[in-house]
Amino acid sequence: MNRALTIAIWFLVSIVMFIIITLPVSLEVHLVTAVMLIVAMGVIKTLKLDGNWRLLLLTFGTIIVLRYAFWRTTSTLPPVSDWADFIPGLILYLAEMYCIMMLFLSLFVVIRPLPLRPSIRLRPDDPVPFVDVFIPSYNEDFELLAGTLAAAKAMDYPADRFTVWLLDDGGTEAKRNDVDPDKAAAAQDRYEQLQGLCNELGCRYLTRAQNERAKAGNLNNGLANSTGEFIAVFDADHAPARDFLQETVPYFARDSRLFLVQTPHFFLNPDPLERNLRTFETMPSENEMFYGIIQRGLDRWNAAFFCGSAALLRREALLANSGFAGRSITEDCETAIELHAKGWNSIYVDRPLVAGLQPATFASFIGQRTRWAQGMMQILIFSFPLFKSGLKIGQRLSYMSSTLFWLFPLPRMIFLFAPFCYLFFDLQIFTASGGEFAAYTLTYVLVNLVMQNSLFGRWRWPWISELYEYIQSVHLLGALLSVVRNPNKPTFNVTAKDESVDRSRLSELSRPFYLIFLLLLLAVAMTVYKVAAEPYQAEITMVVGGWNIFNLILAGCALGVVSERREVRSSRRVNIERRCEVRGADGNWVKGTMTNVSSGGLAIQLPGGAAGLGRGAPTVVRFTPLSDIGANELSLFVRSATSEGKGVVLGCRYMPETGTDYRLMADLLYANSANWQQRQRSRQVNIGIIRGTIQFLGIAVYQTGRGLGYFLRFAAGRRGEP
Amino acid sequence: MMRTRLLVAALLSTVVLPVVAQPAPFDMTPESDLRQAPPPASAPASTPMVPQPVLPTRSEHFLLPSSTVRLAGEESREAMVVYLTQAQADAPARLQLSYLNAVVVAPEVSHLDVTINGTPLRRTNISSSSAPSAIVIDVPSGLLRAGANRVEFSASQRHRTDCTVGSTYELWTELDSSAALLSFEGQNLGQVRQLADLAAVGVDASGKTTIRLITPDLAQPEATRVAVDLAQKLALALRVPNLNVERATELSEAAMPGVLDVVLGPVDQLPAELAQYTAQAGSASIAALVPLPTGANTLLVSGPTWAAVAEATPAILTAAPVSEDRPRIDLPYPVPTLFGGQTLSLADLGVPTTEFNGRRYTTLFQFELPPDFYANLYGEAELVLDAAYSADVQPGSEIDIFANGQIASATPLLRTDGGLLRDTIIRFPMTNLRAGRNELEVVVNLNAQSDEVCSPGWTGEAPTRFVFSSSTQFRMPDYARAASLPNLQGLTGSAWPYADDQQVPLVLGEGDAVATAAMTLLARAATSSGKVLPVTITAEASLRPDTNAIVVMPLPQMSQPTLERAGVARGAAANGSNDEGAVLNQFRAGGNPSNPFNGAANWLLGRVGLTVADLRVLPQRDAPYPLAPQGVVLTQTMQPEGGLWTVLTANDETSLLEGMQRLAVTEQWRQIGGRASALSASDADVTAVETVAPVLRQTQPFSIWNMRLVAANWFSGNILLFTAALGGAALLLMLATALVLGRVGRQK
Repeated sequence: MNRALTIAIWFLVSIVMFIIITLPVSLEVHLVTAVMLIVAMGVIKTLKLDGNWRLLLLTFGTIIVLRYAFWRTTSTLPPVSDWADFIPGLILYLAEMYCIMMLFLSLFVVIRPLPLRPSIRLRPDDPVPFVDVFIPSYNEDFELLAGTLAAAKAMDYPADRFTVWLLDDGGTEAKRNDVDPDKAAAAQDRYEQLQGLCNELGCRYLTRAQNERAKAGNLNNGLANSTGEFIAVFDADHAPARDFLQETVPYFARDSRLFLVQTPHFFLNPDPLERNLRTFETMPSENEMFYGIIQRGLDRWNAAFFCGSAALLRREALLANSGFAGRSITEDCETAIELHAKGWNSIYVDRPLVAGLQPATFASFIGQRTRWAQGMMQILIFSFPLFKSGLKIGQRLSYMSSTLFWLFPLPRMIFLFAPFCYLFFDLQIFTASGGEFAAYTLTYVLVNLVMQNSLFGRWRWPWISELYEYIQSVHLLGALLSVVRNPNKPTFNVTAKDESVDRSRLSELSRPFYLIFLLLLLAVAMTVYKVAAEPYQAEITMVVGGWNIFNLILAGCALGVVSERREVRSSRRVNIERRCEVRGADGNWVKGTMTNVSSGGLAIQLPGGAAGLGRGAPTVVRFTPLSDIGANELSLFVRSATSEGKGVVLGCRYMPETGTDYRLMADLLYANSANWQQRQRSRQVNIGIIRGTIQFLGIAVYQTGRGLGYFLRFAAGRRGEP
Repeated sequence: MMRTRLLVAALLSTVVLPVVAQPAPFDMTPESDLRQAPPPASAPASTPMVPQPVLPTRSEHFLLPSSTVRLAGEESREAMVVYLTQAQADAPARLQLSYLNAVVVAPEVSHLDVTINGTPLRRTNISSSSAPSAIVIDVPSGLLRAGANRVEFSASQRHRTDCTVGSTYELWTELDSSAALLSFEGQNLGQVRQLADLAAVGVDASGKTTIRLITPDLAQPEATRVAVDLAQKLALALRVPNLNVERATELSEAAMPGVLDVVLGPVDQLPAELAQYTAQAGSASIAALVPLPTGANTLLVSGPTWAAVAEATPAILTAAPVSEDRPRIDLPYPVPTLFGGQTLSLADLGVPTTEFNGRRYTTLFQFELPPDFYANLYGEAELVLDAAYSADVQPGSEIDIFANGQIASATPLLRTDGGLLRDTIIRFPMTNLRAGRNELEVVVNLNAQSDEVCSPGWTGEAPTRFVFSSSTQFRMPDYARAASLPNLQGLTGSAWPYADDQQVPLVLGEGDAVATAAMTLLARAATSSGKVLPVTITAEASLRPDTNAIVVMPLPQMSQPTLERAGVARGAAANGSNDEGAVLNQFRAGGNPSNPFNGAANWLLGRVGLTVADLRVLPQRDAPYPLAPQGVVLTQTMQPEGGLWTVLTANDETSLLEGMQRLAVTEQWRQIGGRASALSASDADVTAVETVAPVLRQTQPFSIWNMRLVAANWFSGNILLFTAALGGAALLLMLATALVLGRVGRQK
């Protein structure tokens, strides 16, 4: 059957469906139907049926959501004449409709994500293309850059076919000639140190005159000074795995219009939420939903976009667009949409090939998200994807989904404050009886949960999305509004990745969260009062009060997020198993196994005892690097020695001195991307709605307590600070 | 004056049953005066059955269209239409009535108002709880007019001591129909002389209008047809809700209110008293009121042959047509027909703006829906309320809407800070709306702060706390139009579908009583719809199942094929007497075996207003209705061939007629519905059997919009089929999506 015909059939069936859905049948009919469909969805989900069954589940869900939207539109808006009710009522309605629209857009994107792409290799007769590896940097420290450069240099690719470029924006002429002599001196220092590092590692150091157009300008400067057929881009904190180029380059040989192979960002450390809630080891990370399924879904519609790092791009395509786009502060996505509009293709390879760092503090996390949100808004404003010529329909919808997503702070804040309209001001912004509410709204909420869980359950546990949205919304809302006021205003702020929280404290952005929590508590008190004082509307009060309590749970959980736990950044370990030899106190080499490594050190198991090495002893480890480095000995410093049966486990810190040392460290840390994948997979388990909800409630209760405890402990101290 | 009252009382005591449930039907206190008056020369007390043929100098015109009128609650009003001749309107007139009220009505703050044609006549304090009191009011000349006059009684009643909403249910005042009348001074004013004035025949002391049909024989089908036709036309011309038809052989011996002698037949069969009209009737058709020495109102419908007699009847409706300025006597306010998408102001429906200081305000209005109204299961109508209330009114006050006596919506007032309800929309399901006339009652229960204190006398002294504006609107949305058959409400409300047919075959059983029952039925249908059904008398054998028909026939006379098609079964006793298991099963409630699952399912469904039966999927059959021994049953069946048959039957002629007469009373008539409605001899209420397997018939030109609404209503009655339809569509959509996904976007 041809394509046009199937699409025509689809539209025909959809119209029939639409007609049935919009029949104004009675409440009872809707309720019975909704319950039956939910039961059917539950059966499909419980039996873990896949393929067309999954489509059927989504179709059932769509029906109930659409019936809710129909009812919400036709029956629940307050009369226009009561403007005090109507205006907030309309705002709430629009927020809900936005959510429904986003549900359908994301449904479109992930309706059937592409399966994992099999690894391919260049054919024997394919030429091995030349690759320029760009590592743009602004203010990252030496060690971090050394690690990343070393890892880039260690990539498994013919050494004469790629160049690693450090594109340093921290050592530009402008910075070195800063009017502030201290800053100028620091920039000059940095310039010299990094140049030395690059020489040692065999990388190229490149800087420029002015810091124009931020990261895009920096990358374009790199483009202008290099000639390779392909450009790999890694953020300064994203160390590539050895097989990065092996896994990405071959795709370009298959499609001459391919401009991008994007790979996921994999993080070795937790983000502030994961750290403060202690979910990093068990729960899938926030970005895994995006890289685990959304990019795969986008890939289906040829709309996987450039995420600024961990990607390989074609120079020819970039030049067709005069380099990386720099109008918005998310140059990556903007570049991708421009090239897609010019008919270039992109693909996404779902295999972690870089290991990066999350922002460590809540404040820098919010800073990072502010840039993303503002940049995506700029794209939405400058090149509205739905009407951008050159894009295919699937790409238009995909980009709409990607950009509109960032409007989430609006509905999230509206949902947060909507119950107050009723509880404090007695406004009736949602006209429905208790029965209608149960039949329509509850089933809608339930169906929404089931749909979200069956779409994203492996990558996102129930209520975690709401929590992430809430913690960002509080600060993102203002940022979004400022873009709308002045779309050209936002500037590129580099996210700090090298901070660490060395003592427990309240985040500097925590104040609004406590205020909101207090307001929600007041609203709970108001609910109790209203139920007692106004029994004739107790039903409505309890419904709205229940909604408010949900908000309270979310806000309580967020208190835990902004209460920063103390943690040393470098302590996150990756399990490995590599043979090595350690030089004992007597100078003899003792055989052992390296069991885990982190960015700061490693653990070595010595089956035959400590070989005289104790706490504080310097030593050297010897192992066979996976790439040709020209050295195999790494200086260490023993921090602990723990007996384990007959053997001993030594905890050691690196003592890097030369570039070679960094290459050896990178060889240990970033050698094996399969390791990372396995680590991700172990967390990607769908725990289901019920377990997820119970677990979330548990976390919320605990974190509320911890948040309040931190407040008592640290709020006074903070007031004392200047 | 007193003399005539006695005369009337004496006359009535023989004719009218005491209907009022009060210790003394009449106020006897003034009789001491009466005894002192010289006894009237013609006092007929001893021979009430034989009134002397003297022309009375006063004539009485009863007012109430039913035997009692009850004014209940704090604010209540009842209005009626009284038709007068020009002579009556011009004569000096007096309005008399007698009322009795509940003990708890506080006399000092409760009053009864009488209004004629919008002019208030008198306000009387309501203070007659021990025995009925009479009120006599001289009607100012010029107030009454020829034709329709609207008389309205409104009571404002407050409880003596209690300030609760509940106490307002104890407030009532009853008017006695036998004592509520207009009396006119002048010779022979009771006589109606023109066809146009037919409605001035009025009602009797119990609110009924009777025609005494004097006709030689109804053996000929044509004679019967003319009689049935004439009965309908007279019912319409008389503007009564329910015409009482009696067969008589002789003319009335005296004039009686609410009674019309109808002499029907060809010229050669006229009674001797009308010999003087033979010449006229022998040459042409005649339909005229003839003056007789008895003063009794007598209508002569005659002609040289039956065909000519038939031609005489249209003159009646030509002279006394059904029109807006001639409302039915029990429907004094406009009853517009709503075809959907309309908004009516309550002012147009006769509801006044009211200032109210009580605690339960009620108002009632009516409208009509077409017979193909098909939105009872899904639709919602709207009341757009305009009202204001004082600061005394508390949240928790409630606005209730009753549709045809059933609660349709209860809306609490959640905020009372504004003091104003402007364009406040109250939606209510149209579940209890029906084809034909509908009544909506708006009840506002007010919780007032000051009522909690309830200081002495506060019930009446409280300042105005609620104002109901007549700018309040009733909005009828566009609703589904299709006929769901069988549905007896189509017949009782709009005489549908028969009124639209060219010819309605009418099958009659044998006997005068059967014909009378048919006349009663058809006259009642005519007064509901305002239309005359064009009947033709048809033999049972030639009844065709593909045409709509009406059958009035006792069960024993009915042939087996007709019986099978009529949806009636011979009595339950005859059916199940030898099957004791069936009897036992019937005895067990519901007949459903009750297992724990059923109980749980029922409870769960009950929470959302459903029953297990609502979830049926398999089509059901309407089983024949078993006829009770002394009962009468009206059934409607959709024939597979397309005809809609309405059958009125009973076990014998007498119970057929008596049952029909009881069915035709407005209260019972409005209870008729479904596919079968039965009234047993011992019951006051009609048992209506719902149609479980209705057939939908298109009544409107095809339109997608209407089809959509029809589908909505149909699915609302077939819940699981809606689920199945959605599920089926979902399956198709899933397959279509899978197909598209296999062809659109990247595949691997």
